Amino acid sequence: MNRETYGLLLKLALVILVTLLLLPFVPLVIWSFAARWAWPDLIPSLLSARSWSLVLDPEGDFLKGYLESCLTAFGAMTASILLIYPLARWLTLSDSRFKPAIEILAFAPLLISPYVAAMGMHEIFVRLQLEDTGLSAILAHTVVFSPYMLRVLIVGFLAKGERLEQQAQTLGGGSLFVLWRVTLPRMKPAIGLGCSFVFLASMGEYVLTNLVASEIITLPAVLYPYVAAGDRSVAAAGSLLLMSASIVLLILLELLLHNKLITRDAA
Amino acid sequence: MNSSQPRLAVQNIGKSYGKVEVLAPTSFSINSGEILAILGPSGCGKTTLLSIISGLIQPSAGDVYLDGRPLTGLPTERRGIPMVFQDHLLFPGMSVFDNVAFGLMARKCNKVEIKQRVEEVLVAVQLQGLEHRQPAELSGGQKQRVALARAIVLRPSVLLLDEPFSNLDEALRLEMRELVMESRASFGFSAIIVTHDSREALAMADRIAVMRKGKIEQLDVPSTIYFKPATTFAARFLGHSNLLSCQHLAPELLKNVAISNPTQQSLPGSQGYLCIRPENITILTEDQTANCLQAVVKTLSFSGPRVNVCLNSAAGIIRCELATQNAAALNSGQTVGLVWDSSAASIIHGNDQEVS
Amino acid sequence: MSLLFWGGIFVVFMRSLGMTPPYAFADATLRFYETVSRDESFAASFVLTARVAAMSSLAAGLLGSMIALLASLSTRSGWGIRLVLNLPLFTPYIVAAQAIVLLLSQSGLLSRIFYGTGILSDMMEFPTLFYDELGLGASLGLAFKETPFVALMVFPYFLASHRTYGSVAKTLGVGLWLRLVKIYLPAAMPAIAISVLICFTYGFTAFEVPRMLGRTYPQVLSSWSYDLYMGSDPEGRSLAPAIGMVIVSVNAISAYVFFCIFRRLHKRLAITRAGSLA
Repeated sequence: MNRETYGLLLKLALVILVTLLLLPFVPLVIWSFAARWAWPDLIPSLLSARSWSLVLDPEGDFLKGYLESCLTAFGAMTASILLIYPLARWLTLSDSRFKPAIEILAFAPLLISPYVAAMGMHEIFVRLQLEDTGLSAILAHTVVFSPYMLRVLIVGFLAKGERLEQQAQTLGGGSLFVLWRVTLPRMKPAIGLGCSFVFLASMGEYVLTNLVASEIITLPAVLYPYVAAGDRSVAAAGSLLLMSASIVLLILLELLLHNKLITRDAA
Repeated sequence: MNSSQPRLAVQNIGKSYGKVEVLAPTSFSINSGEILAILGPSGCGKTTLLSIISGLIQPSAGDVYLDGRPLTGLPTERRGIPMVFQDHLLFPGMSVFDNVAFGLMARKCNKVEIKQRVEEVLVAVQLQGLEHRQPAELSGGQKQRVALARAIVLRPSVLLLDEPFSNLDEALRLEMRELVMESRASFGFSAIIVTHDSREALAMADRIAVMRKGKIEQLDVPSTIYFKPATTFAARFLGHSNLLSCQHLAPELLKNVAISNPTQQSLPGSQGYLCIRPENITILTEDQTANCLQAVVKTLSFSGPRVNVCLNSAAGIIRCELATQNAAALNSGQTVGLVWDSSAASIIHGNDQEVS
Repeated sequence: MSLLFWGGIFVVFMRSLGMTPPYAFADATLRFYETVSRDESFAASFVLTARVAAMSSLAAGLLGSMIALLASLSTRSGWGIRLVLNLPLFTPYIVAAQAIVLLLSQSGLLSRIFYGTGILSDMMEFPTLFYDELGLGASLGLAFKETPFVALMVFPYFLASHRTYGSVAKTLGVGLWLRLVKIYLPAAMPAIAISVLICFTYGFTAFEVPRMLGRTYPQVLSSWSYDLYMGSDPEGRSLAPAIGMVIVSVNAISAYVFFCIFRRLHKRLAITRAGSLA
């Protein structure tokens, strides 16, 4: 086997595997426009915009849920960055002997059931008289998803090192100046990545919100009954609406990063 | 095999990424047992050239021939041309023995032969007794020895070395150079070594190719490269040669000076440069004749047995090097006369941009 | 912030012991654990949860590693692949479950394609993947989300070892198979193990996907616990925290293994970094 065919075979295998992962989105798109699509037709026998007009109805539940989801996700994202940035900085710089313990405590939500924690958090919120408020939803999401932010920021700090900050300080830069002019610009890709992780995870969360704030009807909560009832067309359109945020954010992120950070970060 | 046939021939190899040409079509060949150094600054395309020979990069054009057979389309692992990299890149989790034996294993040699050949080559690189060490337990020099052993245990006809010693300190580098020369004597391979260190190239190579911006500017034996650089760039790269614009020199100073690149048809005195090495200039403090170049001493710097003198002249800044005892009479600001032996100088055609 | 998380876990723990604030140890009882463990649906539910988590994480580990390996071997930077993989990775669970049903159920797109090409003559010939006893559907749904995660986690390790040690091995005449076994896989193994373990944890705690793609009996632990917790039966409500603590205990065991591997991975990474080509 010569070099070209060998390379081509590898590429082909890769394309097939990745296509398999993208295949589920195909029926999702078709269904969102289908009014009638009986088995075994390959294309719907009747197309309609009914589902989309229901989903995109300005007075409808879907857009209200979408707004609710975005607000919660935005809140969780903002809270995460404000809380996690100093923690990540401390964890990369400190030699404290409590560091490993704090790391384990902080990363735990990645490895321990958020559902169980939400059960308990609900009781805490009840005691604090915060139950079923937007704040409790934001808090719960922040708690569960901020470890993504922590991980990405720590990797970012480690990759960038301390040298440039030290140089800026020796040249007489005050700590706020150094933060604003040196550290933040360099951490922009990592912050962008961390924010998108938190935002996207929060957008898609259902059970957590349902447990701690059942009054807050986010988009997944609006969507769930349609999926459960098997209204495929509306469920598909609603799903695509929910995904639209992810897609927009991914494109924004790609523009921001210019493909600079991902390899290093994932490592 | 035809005795006149080169061991490895590179014919019109070029490489472009989109519109960016990193390697202009290049041809050269090396003979059996010869060491060729490719010398140039970083980013000049020398590593690209080496990677193309090894098959790690596909050329945009041209062919590589090993003993007359074209290597085009052959994957790297079937070319039989091992390469030693700048980083030792010893396989983690494998002992010294396993590292050296890895290539033989891939060739499905039997265990007895592998053991015997690995031991033989470990003796040659002076690592006997360290077979069972892990890479992390070795010093920098030892790691690079293993990397070298790993390549020569395959008894290659051609060995590629990509800046192999640049991560080592000066003393180790000298040792490694000698080791490569010795192994060539005992194992009989040809080698192409890529380096940015002119001393390394001069010390090791039978021939040197000076590369710049994807082109070979001069390919010749070390003494010619050193004393008669063909381009102003080669002159600069092989150590601070003085390049003096011929326009500002008295005709007597240029008399009998050989022209390095006579193929270019332009007259000295217009676009030529006189190339003279710092150690070949004599400073006259008295008896200044008309046939010397007037210059003012700017700085004197002491470096043990030698003193480096920097002077200002009508032809530009000149650097001289003289024995410390001869510099006692010099002071900065002093006007002196400079003369040189015409046989130690040469004239290079070129334009101003290349000099600066 | 993590105080709130741990506080939540603590409250559930106390609840599972039958204690409510103000906590008094006199009230502590193991009664709920006893009830749960006696319940015959507990064993079924536990086995199902573990099976779903294991099947999905192993499938994701295998597929994700294959994608990462192929991408590292056949692309320059894997940039396009990484971009594409982000799509299923960031798809919400609820959407992923919906999409995979529309593709792979008996009346899904694939079954239609098979009928159209004559492979099937009836809808019923297409295997029932969803709402099954074995949790196959739930595993498929989870694997769909987890595969890109594994691929993205593992890819840099394959790429780094391919670019560095792989190049050396090639020039030494080592073919793809031996390089794969001796160089690429050992370099990526800790990362693969870690990713699979994270996927196992996700699978074990997953709620939406198994709930939407699985049967109503047996349910996975979190879904069962949720039903009890949200239900009207006060006795059932008090069992939910005990089931929750079972989930957390399994999580804790995986977390311990995770940190053990993680430490080794860091060592390996340091070596790979030092050895990578400039």
